[in-house]
Amino acid sequence: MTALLRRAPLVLPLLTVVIVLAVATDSFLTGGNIENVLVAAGIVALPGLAMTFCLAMGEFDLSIGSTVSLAGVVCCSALIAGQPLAVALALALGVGAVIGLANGLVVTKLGVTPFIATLATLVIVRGVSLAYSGGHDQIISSAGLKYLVGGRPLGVPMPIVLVVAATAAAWWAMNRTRFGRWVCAIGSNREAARVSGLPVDRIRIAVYVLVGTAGGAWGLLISSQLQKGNGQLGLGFELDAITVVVIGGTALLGGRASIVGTVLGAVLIETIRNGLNLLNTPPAYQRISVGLLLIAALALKGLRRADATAIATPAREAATS
Amino acid sequence: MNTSLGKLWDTWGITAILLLLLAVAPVVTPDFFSLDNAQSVLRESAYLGIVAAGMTFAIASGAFDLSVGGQLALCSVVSLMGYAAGGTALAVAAALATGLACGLVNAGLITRLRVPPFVATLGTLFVFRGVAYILTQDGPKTLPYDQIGSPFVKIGGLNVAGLPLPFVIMLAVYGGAWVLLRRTATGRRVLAYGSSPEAARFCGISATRLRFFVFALVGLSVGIAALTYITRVWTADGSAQDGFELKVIAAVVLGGTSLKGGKGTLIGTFSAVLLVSVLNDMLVSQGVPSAYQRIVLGGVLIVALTIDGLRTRFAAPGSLRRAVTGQGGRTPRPGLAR
Amino acid sequence: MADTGTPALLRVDGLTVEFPGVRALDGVHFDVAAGEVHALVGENGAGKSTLLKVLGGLHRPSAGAVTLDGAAYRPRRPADAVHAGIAVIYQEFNLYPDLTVAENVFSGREPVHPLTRGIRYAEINRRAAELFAVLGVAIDPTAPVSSLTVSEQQLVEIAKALSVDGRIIVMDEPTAALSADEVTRLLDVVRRLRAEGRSVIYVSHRLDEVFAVADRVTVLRDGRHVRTVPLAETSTDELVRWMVGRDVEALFPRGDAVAGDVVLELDRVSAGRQLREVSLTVRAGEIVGIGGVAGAGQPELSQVVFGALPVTGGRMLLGGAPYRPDGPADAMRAGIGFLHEDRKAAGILPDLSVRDNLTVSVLDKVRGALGRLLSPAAESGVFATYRDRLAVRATGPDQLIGQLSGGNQQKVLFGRALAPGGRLLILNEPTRGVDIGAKVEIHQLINEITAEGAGVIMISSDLPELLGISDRVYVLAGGRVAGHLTGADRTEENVMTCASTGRRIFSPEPVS
Repeated sequence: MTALLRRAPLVLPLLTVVIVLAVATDSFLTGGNIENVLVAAGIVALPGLAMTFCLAMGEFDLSIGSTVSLAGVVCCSALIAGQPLAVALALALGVGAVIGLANGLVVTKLGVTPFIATLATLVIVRGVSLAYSGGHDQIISSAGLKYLVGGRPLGVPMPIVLVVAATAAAWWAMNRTRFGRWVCAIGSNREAARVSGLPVDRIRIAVYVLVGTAGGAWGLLISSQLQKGNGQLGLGFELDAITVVVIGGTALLGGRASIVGTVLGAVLIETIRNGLNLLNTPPAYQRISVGLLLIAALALKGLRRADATAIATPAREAATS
Repeated sequence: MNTSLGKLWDTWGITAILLLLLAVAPVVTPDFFSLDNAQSVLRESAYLGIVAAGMTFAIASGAFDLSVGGQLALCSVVSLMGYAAGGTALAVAAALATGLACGLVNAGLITRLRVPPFVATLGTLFVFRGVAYILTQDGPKTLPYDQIGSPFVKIGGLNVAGLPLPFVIMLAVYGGAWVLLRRTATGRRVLAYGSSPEAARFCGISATRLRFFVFALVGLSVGIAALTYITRVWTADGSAQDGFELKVIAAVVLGGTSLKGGKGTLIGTFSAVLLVSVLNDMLVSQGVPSAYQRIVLGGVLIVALTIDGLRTRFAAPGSLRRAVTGQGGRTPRPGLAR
Repeated sequence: MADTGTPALLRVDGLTVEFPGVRALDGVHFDVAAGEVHALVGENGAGKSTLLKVLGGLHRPSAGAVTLDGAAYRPRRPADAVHAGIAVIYQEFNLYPDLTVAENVFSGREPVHPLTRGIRYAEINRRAAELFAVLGVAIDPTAPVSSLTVSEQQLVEIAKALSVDGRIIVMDEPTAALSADEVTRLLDVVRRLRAEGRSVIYVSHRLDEVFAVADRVTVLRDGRHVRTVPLAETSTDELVRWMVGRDVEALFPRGDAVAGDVVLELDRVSAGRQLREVSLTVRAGEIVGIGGVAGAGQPELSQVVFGALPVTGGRMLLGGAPYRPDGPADAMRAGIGFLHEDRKAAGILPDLSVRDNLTVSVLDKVRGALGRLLSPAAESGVFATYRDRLAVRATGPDQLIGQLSGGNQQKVLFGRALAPGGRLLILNEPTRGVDIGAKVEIHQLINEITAEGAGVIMISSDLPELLGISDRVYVLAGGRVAGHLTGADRTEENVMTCASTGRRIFSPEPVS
């Protein structure tokens, strides 16, 4: 049990929240509601998995919320224009990949701080999305796109199928392949990675492309759910994506990543959202709760780190002086 | 580049561009220099400019505050509630106190709980906005039309010797900020800390006190800005000024204050704020949709940052990491820093 | 072992490395045979680090040649050195703390399954375990590096070197942070490497280790080759003489000190594990030198006195009164000035002007008539005073400090340290990285400061300087005072003995 808690520290708060909600509401522990929570968690976990690589590398991508919007708008307007679904899907994912590539190039080649570079991309892409959609809803009615969220292969909701597959792939890539290990190596000690000849810039660009593509996929899921695209969709989503990763246990300054933690983080956040809904709290409280959760997760880490360094530094300092 | 020329450009370059823009503005917008339009541009620039003055201190100290948009929304909402409850005096006090409180919350998270500044303020951005949303659940807070004669409303509407009062307040803020940054020990310490937190420590500068000062100052500047904002738009809710933080940071960086800290130019920030406002006015007058205005703003920011990045490329290693994480100046030692 | 008949594996000829204004290496030559442990010794600044960086592909020589196994060896980047079989283990490790031991050992060269692209963990864990078996140590290949001790991290670096089949393993001060047990174990590992037929270049301050493990030794001084001899044919005394080899008295004149009252007294002061029960006194008008090898606790001692590092035991007295500074600001108010050993990272404020760099320590005192506002006139006054007194060569008060030479930067920082009142000055490596002219000026300045009645604590790894201008010298070893040398006992041999061999020497206390 303690081993489980150490490896997946979110299990305890998650259980607590579940128990509280089971007692406080009548409807939480119904099959339909649990499924709703898991579907919502799956949708946010998907980009969270990609963002895990970014944070493991010690960097951030804040532009993902705008990517969601633009990918949705592009997909929907392609469908409206009569393009086949496959083309619409490819366009949306491609848009995400291009945004990711742009981020990667600005960060590596122009040397702009990732955080600020992606903040600027956030604004630009949002502008492009608003301009492209003309500020209107692009309403569609596509059974094919609907299947992304509403489909039930073998009776299991599609987002859950997708996220299980993506989690397995991400876990493998992060923990068992060179790519994932090099991502952690860069996050752990970038200077050493450079000196020992790892292809640092190429890996960084690849990670931004990954996050951008995941943002595109996220946009598809949202558009599938709402059956529309809109320049205003995805506002503030970057915070959700980063928060599930950070509360999942991935180190903010890079080096360590927890794929399973990210998924659990998504489940925790969506359970809290669901619970606040069931308790009839207004949507604003959900925003606050996500913000507070992020700060709390980092504050706990910050305090733990402070304790750890207080003890650990003497020997380590001495080693290098 | 010749150093003295480079230094001159750092401080006055953006001002030169502003003057250039002003020279061509009448070509694009024939009535640009009409009293109405000029007053409108100046009035519009005030709240951005006042917060940018506070943010100049934060960035000069090597950190930034992403929560200013949430702070502005919250200050505006609370100020309107204060007005409804107790008139002008309470409205003013409420805005200033709320801003200050927000700043202290940020500083507390950063120094006491050791959350890196940008994550702390990213989190509080959503918290402050969320609180503003909660306070406006029943609809946005507004100034009733019958209050048009109240002294509070005059803050946004009055002209002093032809200058809009918000702009006069902004001028006063910049005057005070300049003295604070250039002529007080505290201002010097902000620059020293931003230049090298590690060296600053050995000059007897307390990081905790400095952080509290800087973030409280940003909060206070938002409180003042909210007064000029709310008395101009008359209404506020949780979504007020979405994306404000980026505009503010863009203006400060555009003005020549380096993201890596240690340098701050209020003259540059002031000019950059006017530049952004004039540019905005020109885009609006040309009927450019607001979507494209965002693209222009983001593009301008990327260009400014690239230039800043090239300028500081040879800066000490770790300064980038510091700008991102806000962790002290000590570059983590390879292999042993964790 | 290293007969002259054996062909050399590595040969260095006429190696010269020049940096702007400095010749770090000047025609150095030596050779290393296969299966030889070759020690490299010399004082700080003798050029050892530069030599290692050339071998490791970080610096390129401006003249001279290195041959490896008969072929020219010209590494252009660190990877070239690795390919050639030369593994340099720097003092600052190139490890990823968050990755496992095995992942670190094989980073960049992980074997992967052709189909799944998965790293073959079973294989790298097994191979890492084999390497540690060769080294005769037990380290879990699956443990994260951050959980290892410094000495274990060092062994991971060595395993990394073995994994690429390093023929020559270069170790820079490998024992600087190790305990006695760990040192013994490391020396065993070095012997095992030799038994494996590998060569080791072993750089160390600690001569006892050199004698314990090396076959031959090369002595460097001021970037020049002094001598290469088998250790069987020399002695500690002889090595020290070669390393020092300079007339100390001529360069560092110091008149008889007129020591006044005790300014500072430390009574069994401890700070964490870095400083243990240190007792010392500093009198007005006196220069007290602190010596020792790197990592013996010198910077910690200075920071404790300056309030930058918390005291965990013992007490301090300043002017006879209890002194417990709560941060450097307190120390400065008490009239203590401080000079950091790392001028670039923790000394200068690079974005600020020369004047602002100077007055930052006295911002409370340069206020004008308006009360709380800084007075530009007062600031310029302070600047003018110290510019004249310290002979700072700057174009004006507004020049950025980064544009000054190292020596002039140092003078500005001296001014900053003096400005709070000059009751006690803590000087860390006051002449590190400054040219010889500025060095002499700085030494004269320190003399003047004491003549005016200030007490000075001077920490220096430059032995001639330490002995030349200090009235008394405390030697630290492992965070403890290992020696107190006064009068004729202040010799380089005695400092080296206390610092490097673990012997303790205490001169009799002078009658005050």
